[in-house]
Amino acid sequence: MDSKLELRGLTKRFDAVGAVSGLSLTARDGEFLSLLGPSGCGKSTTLAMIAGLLRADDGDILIDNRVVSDLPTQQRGVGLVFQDYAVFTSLSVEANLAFGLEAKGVRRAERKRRVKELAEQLDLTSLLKRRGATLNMSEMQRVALARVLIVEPSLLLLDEPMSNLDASVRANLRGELRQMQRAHGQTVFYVTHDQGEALSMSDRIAVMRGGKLLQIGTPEEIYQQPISRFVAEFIGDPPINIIACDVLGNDGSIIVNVPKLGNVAAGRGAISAGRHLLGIRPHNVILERVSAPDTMQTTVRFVENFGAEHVLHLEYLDELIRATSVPGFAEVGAHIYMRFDIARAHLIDAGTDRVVRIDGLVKPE
Amino acid sequence: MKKLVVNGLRKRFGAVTALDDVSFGVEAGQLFCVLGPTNAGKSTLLKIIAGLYRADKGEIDIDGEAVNYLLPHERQVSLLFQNMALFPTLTGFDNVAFPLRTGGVTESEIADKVGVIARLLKIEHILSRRPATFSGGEQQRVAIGRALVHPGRVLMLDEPLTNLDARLRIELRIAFKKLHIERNQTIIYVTHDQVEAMSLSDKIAILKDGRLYQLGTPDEVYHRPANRFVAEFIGSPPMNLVRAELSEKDSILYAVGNGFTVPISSRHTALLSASPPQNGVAVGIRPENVEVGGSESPRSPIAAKVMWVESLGSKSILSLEVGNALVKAVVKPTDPIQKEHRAWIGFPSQALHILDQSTDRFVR
Repeated sequence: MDSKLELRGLTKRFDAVGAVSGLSLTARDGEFLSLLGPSGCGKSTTLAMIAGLLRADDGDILIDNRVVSDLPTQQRGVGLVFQDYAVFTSLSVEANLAFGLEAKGVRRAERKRRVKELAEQLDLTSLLKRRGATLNMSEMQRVALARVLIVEPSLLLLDEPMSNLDASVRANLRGELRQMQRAHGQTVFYVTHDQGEALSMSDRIAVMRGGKLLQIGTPEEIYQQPISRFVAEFIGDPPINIIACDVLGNDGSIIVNVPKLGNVAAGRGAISAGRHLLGIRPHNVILERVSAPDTMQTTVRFVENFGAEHVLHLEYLDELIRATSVPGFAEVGAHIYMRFDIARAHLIDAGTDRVVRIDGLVKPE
Repeated sequence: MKKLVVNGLRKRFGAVTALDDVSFGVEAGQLFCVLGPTNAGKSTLLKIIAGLYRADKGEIDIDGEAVNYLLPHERQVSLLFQNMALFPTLTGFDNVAFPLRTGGVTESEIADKVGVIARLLKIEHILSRRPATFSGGEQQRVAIGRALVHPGRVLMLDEPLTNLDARLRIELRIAFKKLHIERNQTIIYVTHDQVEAMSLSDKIAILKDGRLYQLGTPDEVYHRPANRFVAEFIGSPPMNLVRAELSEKDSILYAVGNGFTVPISSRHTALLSASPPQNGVAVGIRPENVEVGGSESPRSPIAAKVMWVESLGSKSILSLEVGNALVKAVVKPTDPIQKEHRAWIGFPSQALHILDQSTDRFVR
């Protein structure tokens, strides 16, 4: 697919947080790409540079294969939506939507038609006559999005547009935004700190930390094959379990030993012998009511009830291991048995914090 | 004994009714959530209990004693606001320790108590620093620590995690739960986030427009929602509700909607014939209970179009079009149906909820 947006070695030096160093990535035409990372990782700085609100110290920004680094915002052909919605409170929703078209010199009849059409798509028809000031937060943000969408920018830059909304409203808007983007075929560059949002909406996710790109890939890739401890821990709710393990052997032929569970895996991996880490997602902790091969006994310390599933917090050495279960599988204080789905576990080099692949994985003798 | 009882609370601000006849009780040691959307009246409720607002009507008892006419400090409750302020000239340690220094507690006891809280909230590394050097999340955690170290008879927290990064919110949610299990403080926790409410609480009060929509345990509000609002507010994604008419054939009652027909359980049939709905029903089903198959079968007899897929890592959510309705279903992340354009789905009778359209209440 064609490249819509390309960043080449984008750099912004700040003394404080938010600096960006040597960021390179490409958003394909029609792609929903999320830039995900914690506060201060440089994601909003990146967006501001793409929008032309901030000048890069180094590197290039290309939109439609054309360098735009020196162009002012209005000549870059991007639509912008921020956390704080830009809606004219004294104008009606209709006038708010028509505003951008008017500025572009679109004729009245055409304006009316496009406002009506988009309002129907976004379920805003009943709000058209209302003044901006009378809208609630979720309506306001939908209007803000619609205002930008109506001028049909081919590249949409969104900076945490849902941060100020209630959780339930946010969940609904996610689906709406995704559908809208699909229908209009825009390229969306979406900045967020919320891994759930990024996973559920994106075609691809770029994970950023300390101004640098750590990993870029589809939601499945980022979730199933994180490249480092940071990515593994940043993605997933409930969070991944990280426990100590011992790597035995050398010459690339290794055995992974986990306290209380014994040798859980053998194979070939580029890692030194010694103490390292193992990451296991809560739904890859396998639970049994009675003792079974390779399991260890544990006690349920507490339970988080999410309705559709429960997360059990299980005693393990001095720590707690999180495991998902169907509702009602075990109550607090129950003694149950657990083991790990080792094929889906991640071996993490304690020295580098990078995930190490184990090839030819087998269950050791 | 009940720690706190709120009875028939009403509060108006001008023409706006902020609280409309709200009643509930909180047991000692419970973590009680007040859950609802913006403007539900949640913060007003906390302020009335704390004594910062006076209710127009209704009583508040703490430990069996009416506190309506007590001043805020006489109520011995503590309230942590969403935007809390730390003392800028005090260190992290002294901020957390502040409520303990009002008398009677020795410095070594203080050090112990602050130490325990600091470990749980992961703020040990900033205890010797001043707030100006804290990140937003660190400030919030220190403020939470200060509230937890000396909770009073009832500790009230107003959206304590709302302004934090998503990642930190998850971590602190778990830390809170652990802390509560270990210390059994009586806590009233206000949030708009159903995930927080479900996973933390012993009991949840669901509020909207100042009215109590349901009071129950997480299991009750999830598995037996009282009305449409609760069913659509709890769960991620929430319950599917699809419009249908009732129709009887060969003395079996069916719900017939656009694109589907499902038999109704005998339990629901009995309830529905006792009080027939005036305006049709909606069938409700949780996304994890929707049967999804690749071909037509008795378990999945309803034709559906796969509109889009959200991949959440541990599971995927399908958005399916059935007739003119959108139905969400949860499948395994490896389910091949995600790559298809069509699917066959089923609504198992035992997992169905029936909503009376005219009252918006479930038939139970």
